[in-house]
Amino acid sequence: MPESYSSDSSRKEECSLCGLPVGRSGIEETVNGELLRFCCHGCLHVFQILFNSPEGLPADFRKTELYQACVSSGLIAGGQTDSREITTPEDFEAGFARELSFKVEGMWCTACSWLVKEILRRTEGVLEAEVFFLSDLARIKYLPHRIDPREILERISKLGYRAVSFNDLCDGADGAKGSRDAAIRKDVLMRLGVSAILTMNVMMLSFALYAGFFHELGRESIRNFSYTLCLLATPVVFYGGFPILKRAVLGLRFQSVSMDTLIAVGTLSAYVVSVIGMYRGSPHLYFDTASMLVTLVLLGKFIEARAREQVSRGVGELFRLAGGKARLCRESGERWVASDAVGPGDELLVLAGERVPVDARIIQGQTGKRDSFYRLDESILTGESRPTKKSIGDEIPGGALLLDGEMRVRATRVGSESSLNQMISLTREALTRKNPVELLADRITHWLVPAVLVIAAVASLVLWAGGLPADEALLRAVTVLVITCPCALGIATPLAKVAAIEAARSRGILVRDPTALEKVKDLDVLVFDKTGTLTEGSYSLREVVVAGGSEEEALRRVAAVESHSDHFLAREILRKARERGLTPFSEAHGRETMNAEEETCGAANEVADHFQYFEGLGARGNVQGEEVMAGNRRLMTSAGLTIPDTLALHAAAMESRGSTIVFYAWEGEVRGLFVFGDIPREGAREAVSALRSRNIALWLASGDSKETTGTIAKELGIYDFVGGALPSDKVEIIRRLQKDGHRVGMIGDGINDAAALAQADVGFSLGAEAGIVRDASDITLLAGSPAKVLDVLELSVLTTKIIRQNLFFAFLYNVLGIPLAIAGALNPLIAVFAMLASSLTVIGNTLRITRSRRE
Amino acid sequence: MFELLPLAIGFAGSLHCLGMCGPLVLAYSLHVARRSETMAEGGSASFSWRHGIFHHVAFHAGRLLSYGLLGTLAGGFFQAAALSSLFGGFRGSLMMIGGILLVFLGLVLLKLVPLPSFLATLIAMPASFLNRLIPPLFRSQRVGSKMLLGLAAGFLPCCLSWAMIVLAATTRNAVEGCFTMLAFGLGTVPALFLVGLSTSFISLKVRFPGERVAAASVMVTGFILVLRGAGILA
Repeated sequence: MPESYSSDSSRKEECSLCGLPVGRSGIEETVNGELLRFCCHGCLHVFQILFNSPEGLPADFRKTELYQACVSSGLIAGGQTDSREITTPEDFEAGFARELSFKVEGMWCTACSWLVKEILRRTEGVLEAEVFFLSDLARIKYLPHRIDPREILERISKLGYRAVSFNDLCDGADGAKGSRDAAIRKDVLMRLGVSAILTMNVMMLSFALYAGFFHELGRESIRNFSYTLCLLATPVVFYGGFPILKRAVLGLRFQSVSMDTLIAVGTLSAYVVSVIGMYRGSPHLYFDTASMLVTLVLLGKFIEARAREQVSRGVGELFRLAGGKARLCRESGERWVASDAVGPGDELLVLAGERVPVDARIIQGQTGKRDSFYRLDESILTGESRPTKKSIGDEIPGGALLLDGEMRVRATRVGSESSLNQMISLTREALTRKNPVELLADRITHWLVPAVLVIAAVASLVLWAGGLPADEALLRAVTVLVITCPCALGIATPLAKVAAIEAARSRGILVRDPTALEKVKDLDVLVFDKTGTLTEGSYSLREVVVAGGSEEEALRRVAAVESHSDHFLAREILRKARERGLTPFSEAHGRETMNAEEETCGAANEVADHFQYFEGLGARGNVQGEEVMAGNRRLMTSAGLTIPDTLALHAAAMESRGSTIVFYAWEGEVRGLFVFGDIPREGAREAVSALRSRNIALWLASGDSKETTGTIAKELGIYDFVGGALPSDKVEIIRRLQKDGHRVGMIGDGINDAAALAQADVGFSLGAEAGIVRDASDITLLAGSPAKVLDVLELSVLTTKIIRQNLFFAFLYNVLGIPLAIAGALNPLIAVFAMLASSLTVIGNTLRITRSRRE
Repeated sequence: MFELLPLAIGFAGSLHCLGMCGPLVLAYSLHVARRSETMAEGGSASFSWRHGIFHHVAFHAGRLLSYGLLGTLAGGFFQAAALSSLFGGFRGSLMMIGGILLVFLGLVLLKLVPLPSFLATLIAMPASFLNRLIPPLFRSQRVGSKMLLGLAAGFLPCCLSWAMIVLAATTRNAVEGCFTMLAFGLGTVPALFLVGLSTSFISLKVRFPGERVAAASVMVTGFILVLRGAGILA
């Protein structure tokens, strides 16, 4: 049975006749509507001879006896071409494919990532492979019964890169990973250091040679100089430059020409010419070029690696967080387990100073302070350094840091569903997406290297034929090679993109699609969802209208009753009460340990007894012996209570504006009502005016009634609003605006806005607290504040500006350099410096994104 | 030593030739085998070359003949040209040009560079002429038809044989050119001879490296020619 040659996805590109890879031969013919490719014209003609016989074109040449004979004798790899009709073993196997992502350390330019990709694709058992240089990530699809992931990792490690699976990354103390990184860096630093010192000496001596003294130096002295230079330069080229040379050779083996090839060719040429010159006794030596080249390349890579670290530091932290440990509580006691091993519903204990390992709900604990709130630092997720306050029953996201006290929590979302892991996978996805500009740059770089080699070779040949001495021509070639090295081009866009994603993340903005980030600055219309986006939520307690007694008393009593209820209105009442510090809270399911202070405060444990809940009406309970009721009109009238006219009128007025009314009563009298309605979020008004000042038109769309929507719109200062909008209506609004030529952004909460978010040019979703990260939106504002849109806008403008600048700088050096180099206006040394300068310019420029901070 | 190079290239490249000429061999073998099958008492339709050995010999003889012819023509043309004063001084440059052509063809063989379209159209004409001639030759049972087939096969467009023709041309000698091509052809014979037999031996895993080796040797030959032409190498 013929075996397939390559197990990667290019299996389509095999010659339809002989089965050998088609490569770039570009020979195609359409037969019976099917496009066939051939590896050479010979195969094409043989094919025509064989299958275009006078009997007419066979309906399916694959069914002819000849074809079958060829297949069975192994000439043609029949399996692949028939894959559409016959299920080949390969197709069957592919169903078992599994995906694996891992980190590859030690790649120092995009060509390294091509090399690793090539190697991976040629490994047996690997179906697909993708490698991303800037994020040091590799993603493969492999057949687990054919190859073990460990083998894959080993294979890459043997080449000199470190391949580490993500699980291993988090094993053991963080120090382990740190020390691995440190070891790699130490090695590079060592090579750099040695090279630098030796190169400086080389430069000194070379300067002496250059400086015109060689006219007066005798042959003897020249020879002494030369030998010394050679002695000094050799370790630089072969020890310092060893990684470069090794990668160039590897690249050659896997036909992946890269920048290292350029550098290696340049360095070795200069070195060899110098050695030959040394034997001939010529004073024209270029050891300094060779050494300087190696040293500066090492330096450049070192700086680039540091920049990458700086730029993507936050992402690494996220990964670290995800791999932590959790304190699991069982009847037998507490146990440390890996966060991955926590299941939903498990009880965990979190102490002050520790991070919550997974998404969880607080069940009980001690706050460590007077009041009933736990303070958490969620800055790693939302970018807000102000602590958030949570209480029992609230959900907290994994990764939040408990500032004081201790708490028991019940895990809600674990594993890949936890908000932390979702953030990580989204970030990873964003980091690995390439926009069209990047793909283009990649392709250019891929072709540039061989093209440069050819240009350099041709140029030097032509110059030599034209009469220039051979070594001079060679040197011009080396200069061309060096100046054209596209290192800067390779990182111009990607580095900025990674920096932008990371800068966004540190502000609590999750970017799923980097192209969306670029589009943000072009938006001229923003459509806001109302409920939950610009407002707190339609059932926030806006007002307490009292007919007798105080607000506090009302809240206290009703809260005591409502503490038994799970209704969202009840929770809102409880929350408000807690905010005002009115009740020591306790959950219906557990008892809290009160500390001494609270006892002496005299706050009684106000939980109502004899709780009764009436569906659709309200609730009732006994607080300190008195009956307290809370509910709607019907509850009141059914209990025989009359509502005072003032209250009734007020209620009617509020209801007509869309608010929800809850009456409360005790001691046989209706004492007042709670008004629930929409309140604008904190900072929403300011955000709106800031956006308006940037000339962005604003729309408010909501499913709530026109009156309610209109009220909020007016409060915020938005003139265009639509009420009673179904999700499809929202899509329609956006589409109409887009047809009018506007670039529309939509901000919503993702559940019923999914379609609208997808329709908009850029979709923003406001992440809820225990963030369920929405799929439909390009950008998620984790902090839950619409004001963050401004941050995104600024970041978008900045990033695009910097990318353009980077590309400009990267190209500038290359484009200017080639003609200058050929004309001989540059000597290799200057070229080397220019190359480093272009890389540094791009890196420095990009760090401006990382350093930009609000306030 | 250099003279044996075409033989080596033919051998290495024969694995590549299998891809193209192999189906041709199989094609006529089918017809031959069918005929002999009806003659024998049942038995499987194996392409045993025992049945058609003369046909195979004739085929290969025809191929070698056409190669030899081409080589003679190539070498002889430049021999004649060398005699004329016009080209006399250009000995070195002919080698260099030939060498560069070889390198280029090697690249095409490696499928790194597509063949320029004007060359493709150039060969399309005679190729289509051949296409019309060849099919009846398959079915004929006469040995002579196989020889004609072999002759035609030798003219099929194939970068490897072109490279060898260029090599032959650089010898600037009709006899040497002929020998070059014959050596090449001889190298390709064994593999094609065994087409009907072996299976795993000629799997893609073996053929592909074989083709690459051939392409590489072509390029190396090209380099050597260039160096010779430039006077660096003797």
